[in-house]
Amino acid sequence: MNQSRRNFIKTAGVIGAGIAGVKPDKVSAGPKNILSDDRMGVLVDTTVCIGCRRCEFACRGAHDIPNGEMKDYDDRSVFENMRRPDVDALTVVNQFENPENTARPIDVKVQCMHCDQPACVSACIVGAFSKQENGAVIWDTDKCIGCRYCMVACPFQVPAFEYEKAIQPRIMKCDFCFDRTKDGGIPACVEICPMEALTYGKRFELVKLARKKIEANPDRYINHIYGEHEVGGTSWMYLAARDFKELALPEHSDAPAPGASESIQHAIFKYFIPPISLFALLGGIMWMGKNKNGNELESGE
Amino acid sequence: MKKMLSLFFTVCLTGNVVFSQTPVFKNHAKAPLECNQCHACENPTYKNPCLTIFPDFRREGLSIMRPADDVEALVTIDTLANLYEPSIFKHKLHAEMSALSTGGCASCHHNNPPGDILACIECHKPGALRDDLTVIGLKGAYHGQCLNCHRDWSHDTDCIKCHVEKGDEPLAGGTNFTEMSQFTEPILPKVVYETDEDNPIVTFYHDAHSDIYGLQCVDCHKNETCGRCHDTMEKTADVEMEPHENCQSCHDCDTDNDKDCLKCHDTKEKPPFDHQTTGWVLSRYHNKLTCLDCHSGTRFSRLDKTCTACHKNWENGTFKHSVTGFIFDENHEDNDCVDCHLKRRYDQKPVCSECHDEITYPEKLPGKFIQKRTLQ
Amino acid sequence: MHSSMKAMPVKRPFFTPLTIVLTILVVNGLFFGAVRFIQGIGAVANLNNQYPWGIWIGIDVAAGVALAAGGFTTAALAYIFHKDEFHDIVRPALLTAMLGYTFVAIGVVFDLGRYYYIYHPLYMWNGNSVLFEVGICVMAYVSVLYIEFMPIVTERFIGRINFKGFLARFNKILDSVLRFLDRIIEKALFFFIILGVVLSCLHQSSLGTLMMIAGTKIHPLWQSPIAPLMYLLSAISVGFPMVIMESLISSRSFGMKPEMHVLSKLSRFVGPLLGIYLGFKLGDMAIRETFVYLNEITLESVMWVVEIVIGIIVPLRMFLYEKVQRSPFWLFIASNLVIFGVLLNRFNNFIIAYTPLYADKPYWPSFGEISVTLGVIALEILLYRLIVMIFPVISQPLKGTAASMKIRLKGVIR
Repeated sequence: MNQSRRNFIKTAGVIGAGIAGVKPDKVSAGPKNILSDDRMGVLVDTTVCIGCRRCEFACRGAHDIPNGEMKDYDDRSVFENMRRPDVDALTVVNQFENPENTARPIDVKVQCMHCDQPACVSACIVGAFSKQENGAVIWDTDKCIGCRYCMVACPFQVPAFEYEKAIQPRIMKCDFCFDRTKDGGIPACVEICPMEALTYGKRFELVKLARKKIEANPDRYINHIYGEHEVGGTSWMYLAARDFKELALPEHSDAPAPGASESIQHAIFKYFIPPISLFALLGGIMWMGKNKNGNELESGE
Repeated sequence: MKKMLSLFFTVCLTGNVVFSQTPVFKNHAKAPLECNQCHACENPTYKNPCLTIFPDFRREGLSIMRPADDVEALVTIDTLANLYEPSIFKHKLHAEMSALSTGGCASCHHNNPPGDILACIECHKPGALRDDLTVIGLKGAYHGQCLNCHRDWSHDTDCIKCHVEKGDEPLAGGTNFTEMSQFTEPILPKVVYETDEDNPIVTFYHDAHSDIYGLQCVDCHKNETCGRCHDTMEKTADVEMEPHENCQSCHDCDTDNDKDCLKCHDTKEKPPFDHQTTGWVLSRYHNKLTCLDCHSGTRFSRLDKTCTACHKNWENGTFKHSVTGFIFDENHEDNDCVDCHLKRRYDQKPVCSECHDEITYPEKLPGKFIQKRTLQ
Repeated sequence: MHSSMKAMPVKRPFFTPLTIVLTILVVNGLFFGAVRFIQGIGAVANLNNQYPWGIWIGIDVAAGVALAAGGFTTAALAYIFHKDEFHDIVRPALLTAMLGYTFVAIGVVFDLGRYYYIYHPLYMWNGNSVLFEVGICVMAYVSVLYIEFMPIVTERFIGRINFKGFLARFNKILDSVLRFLDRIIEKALFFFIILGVVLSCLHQSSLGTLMMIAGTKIHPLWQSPIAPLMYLLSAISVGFPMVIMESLISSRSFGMKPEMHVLSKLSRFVGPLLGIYLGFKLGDMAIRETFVYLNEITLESVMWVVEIVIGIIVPLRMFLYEKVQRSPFWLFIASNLVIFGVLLNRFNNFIIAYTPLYADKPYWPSFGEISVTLGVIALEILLYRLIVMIFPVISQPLKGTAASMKIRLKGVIR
């Protein structure tokens, strides 16, 4: 939670609690959304990626999804159609033609971006999603009721749902290998990447690194770190030689994805001030009308 | 050129070497370098060296250039010896090939500071969890070096091309790496170019240039990409170059002069160059020589045809006439050259009757033939 | 209150040709519903990772909630603003709302992957989530609606519980429970009525915030920062037309005289309400300059124009004619246009305006999805019919006090 918002909540909480007589921390009960300065991230250099799809192999292995043999992933025909992360492939690599050099297509790994202001965390009806201190956006499957609002909310269209399961279908997405990263490990995809196109490190250091790379090779990169500011910043960031729109990374403003809906939500609902005021207003109208008319308000008739 | 540049940048990026925390080479303050080539701040300290990312030593002070044939032939990479058979890198072969490109040794030995050539691992540390994010890890460095070029022309990135799993059959080609690392020049005998000119055909005798004219590959091939030779799918774009440039570096011709054009351009294939047409028939000795042995510098026409113009030490007594296949008898041994070769016409057989009027001379030759002499 | 009118159970045969058709639809819907529960959502619905929400949310839930707005608008009109002449239509409106919301919940159960955890939001809170707010409000409002309906149940059964045999011993206890409830609710009803209106205002508007988080995935014609206000205004606008439409259909279906004396008065509110809604809709367009999207003919622009012209402007003009207000036929048409407009608005916002980033083909509801949706609606209509035949919901002219006494004393469950 950033500083300005925390301040706002504090102030609003005091006022709100005073008027509504409700403890702020009870009202603001929501999922965890920590923005630690030391949160980790990954810098994806699409100019280095060779599309070997070893990350797909390692990812499945790390998430108990059958992953076959490593050499199966040499199959290039999968690049004919654009693929999206799914319940059995939390990360996928897509290939795009490079008009400047047809011999060297552009490969782009796709997975959850792990937003700093995640829409899914904001959206989740049961608060199953949370932004962890190390940057990971994870979710608690036991809480999930399968409403799929996270999928509606996600600005990158990442979460997938097990539509074929009748019982205990799960939402599935990249979890930043939280089981590994929470104890100082590194994500499986980063570990296996032969080209080290994926750099795992503290987010602010990655931003610095990306800047230096662009500065040192202005011909190689466009001057844009995708994810540095998009939707309020993401833990995963991309460098590329071509405009990100051409690489199927959607154009987004810098405004946090849940921004408007959350503030409206808070304006309408938080600390119950508007509802209670409305209640009081309607009650007043009703009472005045009753006095004037001398009417009884009783049974449904 | 653009392609080469991008390759060049690729190589320099994937390396992105800076020194590790300890000085990579000793007494580096004495090296022929400016401090600010490596250090970003004015007063670097041991603890805070404020090293810049990607220092570029290619500009000056690079001391690692060696002739391509004077390098280690093979380098064994066995960092993952627990999983794979070692990868054998044919170093000399790559050095020779690199010489044909703009990068040369620095294509791979990027950012090597003055002094010894450093192994990759000196800067690129193993393990994906890195202290210094600006320096790529060892795995990335290796793969970056190999795949950045190989994928350009092989168009695949299959692991099996380099890695053999422990205990598996060796790669196609066997294990005789020493033999495989010999640079076998795939010389094309002749290349026929079709141009848009009125006389469209330009015939280039490649073998003549390398075998007869004694040119080394690097003399012409300075700017090549790997794909130019290796890309079987021919997806790699040719390096764009001004077509006359390469020829003009040796052949003197004015592209605005129509007469000069006809030297190369014709309506049909030109026959290979025949020295006889110049009026100088190459003897069996001269046939073995390269052009430049006689045509020193770039002078190709109207050379002095006298033997001593080249054979400066040919005088009486120093020239062993027996090498011509003809040994003099004692009567002729002390003759001066011009006594027999009137008017210094050494290419023609002297006639006895020009000196002798005795009737016996045809029986009594001035010596004996030891070998049938042949001209040309 | 009209002394000549009294809410009474309607006595007509349950099965008519229409109800038989509805029953078939219900059975068909139940079949596909069963498939969904046995084989998963994917077996029935055309939903995928690109289109997580289809008509089960867009129509069953979003439109369902909007069209059940008659309950709170009528309750507010009759009780909070003390327009006593509308008391006769409160009970049908209340029943519609109660059934409407119940079936919203049922629709949600079809759509939820883990429907058996539907109670989770009760104790797993996320105050930032719009859906959480909607969910909690809907749950609370359903409870309020059931409480509000309670007096009708007590009225029907107090003094008439007459179990036979073994169960007879419970008759007295149950009767006193009912009497006790009746007394409590009588005292507290005003609280629940206001609460119902407040809860409705909250979640009706929050439904408009629901798709806001989808950001650029929602077409700018609908992605408005004042969407919650417009949702609330449209819900208030559609409340009365819904009541009018139902009343006209029930009176026709049960062969009774249309309650035009009430409905005409009610219809006078619709025009101005629609006018306010239209004003905000067009004002929003002008301020955000979204009219540029109408320059080209796309599915979105056509649907928007249809929604505005047929769903708002035409009925708005109609409701302002006195002739329309007095004619059951025209009133029926005009009301249906408003209902169509609001339904289309919800459908547009949730389905048409939603363009996922990587869809390879547009969403089209499967036969199974449509079957379930139709089945749910059909079941709702059948239940409405059943309940008005059991409980005193629809006001009917009294045929003298004797008739009233007869009903009061009869006390037999049909």
